[in-house]
Order: sequence, then structure tokens, then C-alpha cells
Amino acid sequence: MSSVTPGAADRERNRGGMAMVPWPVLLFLLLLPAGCARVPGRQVGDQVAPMVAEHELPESALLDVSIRVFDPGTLPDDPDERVGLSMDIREAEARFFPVHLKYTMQRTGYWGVVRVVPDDDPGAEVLVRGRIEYSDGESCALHIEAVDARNVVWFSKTYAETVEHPASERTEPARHDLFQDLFTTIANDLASHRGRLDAAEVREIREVARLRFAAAMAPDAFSGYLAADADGRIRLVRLPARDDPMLARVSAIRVRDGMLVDAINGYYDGYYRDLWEPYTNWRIFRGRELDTMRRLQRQALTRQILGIASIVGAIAIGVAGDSDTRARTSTLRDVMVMGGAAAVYSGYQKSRESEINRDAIEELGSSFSSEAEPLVMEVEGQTVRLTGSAEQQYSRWRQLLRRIYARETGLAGPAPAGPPDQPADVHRADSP
Amino acid sequence: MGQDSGPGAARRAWRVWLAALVLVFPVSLATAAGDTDIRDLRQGVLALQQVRARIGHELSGLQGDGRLTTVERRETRLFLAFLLARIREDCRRLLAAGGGPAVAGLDCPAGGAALPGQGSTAARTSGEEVELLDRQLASGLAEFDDMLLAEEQRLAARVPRQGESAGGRDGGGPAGSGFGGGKGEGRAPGGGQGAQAGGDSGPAAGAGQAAESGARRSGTGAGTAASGGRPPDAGSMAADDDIVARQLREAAEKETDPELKKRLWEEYRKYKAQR
Repeated sequence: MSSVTPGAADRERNRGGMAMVPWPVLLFLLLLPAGCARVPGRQVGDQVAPMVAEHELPESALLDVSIRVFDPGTLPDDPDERVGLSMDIREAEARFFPVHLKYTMQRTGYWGVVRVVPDDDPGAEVLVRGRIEYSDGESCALHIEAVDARNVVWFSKTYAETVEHPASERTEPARHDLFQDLFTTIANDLASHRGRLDAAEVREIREVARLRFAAAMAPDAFSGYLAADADGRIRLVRLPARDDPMLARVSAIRVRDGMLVDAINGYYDGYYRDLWEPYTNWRIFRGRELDTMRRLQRQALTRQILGIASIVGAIAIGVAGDSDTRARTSTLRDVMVMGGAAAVYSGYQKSRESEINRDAIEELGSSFSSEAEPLVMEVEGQTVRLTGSAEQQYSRWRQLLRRIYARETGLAGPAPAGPPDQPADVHRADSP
Repeated sequence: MGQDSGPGAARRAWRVWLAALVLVFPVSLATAAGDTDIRDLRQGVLALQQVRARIGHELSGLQGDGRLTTVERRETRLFLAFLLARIREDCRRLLAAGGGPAVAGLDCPAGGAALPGQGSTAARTSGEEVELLDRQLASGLAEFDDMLLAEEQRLAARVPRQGESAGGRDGGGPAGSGFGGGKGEGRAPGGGQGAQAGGDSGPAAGAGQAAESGARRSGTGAGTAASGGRPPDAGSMAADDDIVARQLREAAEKETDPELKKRLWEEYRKYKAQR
């Protein structure tokens, strides 16, 4: 598996090198872009085998994963590349991809609970963030960053895959997406990194996650258990007693928080199911139209280049030859010019034909957007409703915990903490 | 003052005994009835707790084997939340009827310990105040559980826009309708921190563990259905079972302990009557 960032730099380099190549190669290069997807190319392997745990891991070895809803990114600047795409589609994909990654990871057996979360999760043992770098239905590039509770970044890289014939790909909801190699590669990388952790690190991650959540709920009681280095890495300073009543209270809240996220995931799962068919169909139909459009554009370009070459050839013969040559090739030159002109015109007609496909792609895009938008709004509405009411409750619990702590210890705590989705309140190790 | 004797005294004595009998007998009856209720409620709580614990135990064996569908997981979580709510309700009633001794030895969820109408905070010791705050926290947790239960019911009732059956597409054309289901998931989601929380209070740990484990919904268990307190009308009642009713019925059908089986059928009947 390799990773790249599809960008203008590579294309610019390619253009800079064109002056050095002979003209037949140049002609080939001119024809090439119309024949295959340029962005982002196929970087992950083909038919990637999923890494699956050989035996069931004990509970103590399992890390829970929170996959944050992806950043939808931005649409390509190039109007040709963004044809039929929209931010509505990107927003739909930003919620679809994490759910599919969740399903892919759940099958590996390496993980505990894998959930999609609407925002950063302070109690996450492993948090996966993603950004859609590029997505047009036949190509997809995702930037993925995985970080554990200690703020240790496991990796941060971009995965890309292009499916040349979406219609011929096998798909199965929750199991096999068009970009399954991409999702499997991400899941394999996460499993590889997990495999490199020893038991002590896994324990530390779990403890830090637990205490980060605790510190977010009851900073008075728990912020002193963790410390952050200058580079942001969070370390355990000490552990609370096993029978610490405050920890028991916070743990009870954490269980509820997990159940709340499960409820939210119920809506994400429903959203995924609802979107599966229209999204898959959109990608397939769009792929077909793109194939046809590119074939027509390729034919148009070939004809136009050959036509121009024929006309240029006829002129060259007339200019380079003497009067005798000109007289002998007069008919040939006439045929070359007329044939060239006809080829150029034919190429023009072909390119007009491809406009029909372009319109069809636009139409498919707007049709899918109109299907996806209400689904996105619904799942977002449910998420906001649930997190909103939960946040009110969390706020009350934070106040109660603060009062309980003050009563139990006789210490008046600092100002009330922020909401639980804020970064945990930890001491910096280098702070006084 | 002379001592009363004769028929007048005997009549007075008889009246006193009668009055005492009239006053005491209903109290005795009420006490006996109360004792019976408390005993019954305690047995009910124990039975439901046993069912919850067994589901958790069975499912810890299935943990991570990926044989649990999304729908099964959700339905089981709903059932577990229902059981938790029932246990909490019975604990609350026990506490109201018999006070602390009535719930002694029962692993009552936190919400069950919350009693309304606590006194003012004035003149309370620090320990009493912490206890009161703990009760408020527990009450908030119980409310939250109820909200989650309602959410699970809402989710379970949600009608998917696309078909949920059938699979995807084997290449060669656009996707048909359908969704294959989320089989093959690892550790079943659902309050996964419960087991690892270590210091969880009873209800939290219980909810977490049971929800984390989830439940693989069994078959109908018709083989054992005919015995052990099955209501004669269970067959016809089952026709319009919702998710919780179905889970209750299946748990009752599978149960081999006659006492537990009887309790589960009672729960099933009660639930159906409430519906």
C-alpha cells in the first residue's frame, strides 16, 4: 500500500517535462488524460486481504475506537473535475464513509466497540479522524489520522483508490463497498499499529481514556491524575483508588455516554442503510457516463489531432518541396487538407456529443443530491437532538459531581468544566 | 373504688376485645398482605436480575464472534433496557413499601434508591448531604436511562427508507434494494465501558456489562414452550408481540427453572396488558 496526496504539484512536474519528449510521445500523453482518471489514481493495492485476528482477543486487550464523522473537504477547483459533484454529496459521504469503515473494522476482531461519533470524543481510546480529499464516485482519496487517548498519533496519511468500472464491482452493504480495498487498507493499518502495542501500552491507553473522560466530567477530582508533555502527549501521573466513589460515579456516567453514542449510531446505521442504494447507483451510473464521455472526448481529440496533423503535413509538403514536387503532390495535398478539415470537424462533433454525457452527469449529481440531503438533515437533526439533551444532563451531573467532591473533601473546586466533548482538563507536565 | 364484676364487666371486656379485634385485624391483614407483596416483589426483582445476568453471561461467550446482526443487537439492548427499567421500578416500590430492609441484598439500580421528598439541606451532616446528592445523581441517571430506552424504542420502530433485506450487487449493474445487515461485528457495541469501568456502581456496571455483551436472539424455543406456567393464551397473545414482548416470551420459553419461567410469563402478561 502506498499513500499519496493527489495534488497539482505532480501534474505540474509532468507538464514541465513535456518539452523534453519527442512528439509521438507528446501525442500519446495528450491523448492519455482523456482515457483514465487523473485524480487521484490508484494507490491502494488491489484485492487487499483484510487482517483478521487469528484468535479471539481477551477483553483486556481490546481498544474501543471512535470514528469521527469525516471532514467533507472541498470540491475540486477544476470545473471538469467537479462536474456533477456538490457539497451535499460530500456531506453525505462524510457520514457514509465512517460508518462503512466501522463495519470493516468490526469484522477484524482486533477491536472492542467501534462507533461513529459526531465530534471528538474525550473518552475515546482510539480516535480516527478523516477528511475527504477527493471523491467523485469512481475515485476516492481519504486523509486519515489515528490518535490514541495519550495523544499519540498512530499515523496520518492519505489513501486513494480509483475504481475503473464501478458497474462490474461486487457490492454488499456493510461488507463490500466500491472502495473496499481502500477501507480494508485503512483497517489493516489500524490493526497493524494496534499489533505493535504491548499490553502495558494498551492498559495505559485505556486508563488515560477513562481518566480523560473523568476529568472532563469532574475536573476537580481527576485533572491531577494526568499530565501533558510539551508535545501534547498525555501521561498518567497516578491512578485513583479502585474503590474511589467519585470514579464509580463517573464510570456510571461513562456507561450512559456509551449508550448514548450507541443510540446515535443507531441513526447513523439507519442513514447508511438508506443511503446505500442511491449512493451506489449514483456512483455506477456516473461511472458509466464518465466512461462514455471520456471515450467520446478521446475520439474527438484523436480526430482533431490527426486532422490538424494532416493539414500541417500538406502545408509542409507545399512549403518544403520545389515547384515540380508541388505540382506532383497537388492532388495529395488537397486531399490531405480536405481530409484533415473533415477530421477536425468530426472531432468537434464528437466533443459536442460528449456534452450530452456531461449534462447527464450533472443531472445525476443533482438528483442524488436531492435524495441525500434530507437523509443528512435527518441524521444530523437526530444527532443534535440527542447530544443537546444529553449535554443538558451532563451539565447537571458535572455540577452535582462538583458539589459531591466539595462535600466529601472539603475542597472548593475550580470553575465548572466545559462540555464533555471539549479536550480533557489535564495538567501540563512542564507547567508550574 | 370497687372492682367491677358480674355480667356488666364481662360485657365490657367482650366489647374491648371486639374493638381491639376490629382495630387490629385489618392492620394484621394489611401487614400480612404487605409482607406478601414485598416478598413477591423481591422475588420478581431477583428473577429479572437472574435473567439479565444470564443474558450477559451467554453473550460474553458470543463476544467478538461476529454472529450478531445489527437488528439483533439493537433488539437485545432494548430488552436489557426494559429489564433494567422493570427492576428499577420494582426496587422503587420495594423501597417505598418496606424501606431499606426491603431492598437489602438486592442489587438495585441507582434510580431505584431515589426517593422523592427528601428534607431540606439545612442541618444535615456532610455525609447525609453527599447521600442526597448521590440520590439526585442516581435519579438523573435513571431519567437518562428512560430517555435511552425511549430512544431505543424509537429506533426499533424506525422504518428504513430502503429495504432491509437482501444484499448488494454482484457486479454488472446497479444495486438492488436492500441491506445485508451488519453481521460480523466484533465486540457488540452498547455501553462497552461497563466491564472495564471497574469501579462502576451496581446499576452502571450492570447496564454496561449487559449492554456490552448484547444478546444473540435465540429461536422460538418451542420445544419447552408447553410447560412451566405458559399462559394458555400465549399463542394468540404472541400474534401482536412487539420487540420487548417477543424477547420476554422467548426468554420464558427457553427458561428451564420453573420459578423463573413463571415469573417471566407473568412479566410477559403484565407487559402485554400494559400495552
